[in-house]
Amino acid sequence: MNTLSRRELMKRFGAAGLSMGLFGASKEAWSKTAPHIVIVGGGIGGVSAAKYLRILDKNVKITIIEPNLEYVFCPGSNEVLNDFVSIEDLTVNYENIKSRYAVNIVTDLATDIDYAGKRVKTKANGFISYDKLIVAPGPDYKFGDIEGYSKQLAEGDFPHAWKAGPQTMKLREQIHNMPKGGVVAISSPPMPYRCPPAPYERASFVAEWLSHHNPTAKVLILDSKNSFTFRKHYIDYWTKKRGFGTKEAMIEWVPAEKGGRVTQLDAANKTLVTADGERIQADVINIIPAHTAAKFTHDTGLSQGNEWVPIDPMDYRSMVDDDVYVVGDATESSPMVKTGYLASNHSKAVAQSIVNSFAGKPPVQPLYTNNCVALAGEDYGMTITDTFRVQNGKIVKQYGHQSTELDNDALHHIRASLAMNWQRAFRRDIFE
Amino acid sequence: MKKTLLVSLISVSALFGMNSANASGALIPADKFAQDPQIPGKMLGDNCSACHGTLGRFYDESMPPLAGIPRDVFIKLMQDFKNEVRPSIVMNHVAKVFTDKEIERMADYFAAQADRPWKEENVLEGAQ
Repeated sequence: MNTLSRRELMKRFGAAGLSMGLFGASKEAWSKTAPHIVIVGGGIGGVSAAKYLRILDKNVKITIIEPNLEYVFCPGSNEVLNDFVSIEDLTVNYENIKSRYAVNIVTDLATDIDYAGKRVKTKANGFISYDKLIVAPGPDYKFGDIEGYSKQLAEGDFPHAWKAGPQTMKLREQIHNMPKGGVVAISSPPMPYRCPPAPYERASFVAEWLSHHNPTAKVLILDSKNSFTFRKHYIDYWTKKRGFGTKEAMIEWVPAEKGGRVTQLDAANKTLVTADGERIQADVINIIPAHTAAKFTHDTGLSQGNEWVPIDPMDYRSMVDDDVYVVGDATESSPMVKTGYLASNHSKAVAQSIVNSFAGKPPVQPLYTNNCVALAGEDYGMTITDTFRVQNGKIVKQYGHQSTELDNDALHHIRASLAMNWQRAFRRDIFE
Repeated sequence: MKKTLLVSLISVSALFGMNSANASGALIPADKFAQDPQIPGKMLGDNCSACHGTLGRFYDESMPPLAGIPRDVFIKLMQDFKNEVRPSIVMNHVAKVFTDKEIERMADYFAAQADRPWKEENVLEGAQ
């Protein structure tokens, strides 16, 4: 194995670290011939790949390259906006992954792939060699699709908060400090983007907080689409709880066909401009930008010039190199939607395929389910049940069901508690 | 413990008399996939982990654990969900996609898992 040399390791981690095992992570020593699996990205896809690989194979070396010391789960992060949960509830670190599963964590940013040399270039740690590489970088955002919006503005006074963390807290603070009777404008993106119901879940939780603390305030959803996931549920909830469709409505939804598509931000005047040229001033502006696969996949050629990374759905192998796999939101997985649930299941197929390839076997026939949840309030949950199979190299949606019942409060409560249970169990399944 | 959880599942669904037949998308019957290459029990069963725990081993969440569940109990439950004999909030829609053989392979997989919580130091012991 020609991964980081022993001397390099000594330099960075000291002899004490080495005596405890590589990076101090493991009590077992790997043989010199143990294959090295390197994972770019320590989110849901990357960490599930590491954990499920370790369950399958005690002997491989596994390294995750991830720039952050902690990961904040996106599922549940809308509930931070009304203090239903805290950001701490959603924040995990890599200790379990290191100690329980003997995974090396390299806190660094992967910047390139040397396919011929089978190594990943990092910002601070030079090259890291791999036998198999799993790329799990998530999406990036197309700020340029909305004139005047930028990454800098998103990190400043116009957070998108579509990756949970500091921007979530910034948006929360803005909403909580809004003047009485103020307006929160949410720009909802075109498909595909991660977690399709989440903009509407966000609007619901913002309205819930405002109903207690700023009851004359409004939430305006300006949509680049004409419909959305769980629309019947959300409209039902907003009608019953937020005066939807009346003059007193706390939530208003403007579909694309009625001029909802935002094309421009006039940051200086806190104003959004729509495709129809209408100018809408708001006290808090939350633009959820259109998505594309992470820059890393474009820079390394994995996306092959496409918006999303083409993969073989049998085992999420890239089309560029047989030893490189790509999972999660960055992939072209249509008709799947982009969810953490599916990302974790892509990774299980990858883990099995990699272990099989070491044994000289083909990948197994996969199954990808997306049995997910969403909330409209602490008292109203929704569930979705999607199943995908692979036939003749294509992803086939076998079934897709969204909960439909409207007039059953007890059931809404049960689904809400199920949703909270799911969020917790899902975090544990990936990081515990 | 498992018995209690199964009972609570039944009572919840009985209480609200839920109709699970109002599907919002067309189902391609499982039999249409019967001639495909077999999906192994592990691949099938690991799709359950986000709710039922890694290898079916979360014992302290409201979705019941599956590790160590007797084969025939699992098959009966899944068939009853699949055939809507046992109404439930989510499981009818989860179960109806599987062939009978797939349910049997999942049953074998979960029956073989160590029946202990995913909590202790050496969680990987007994993992199949």
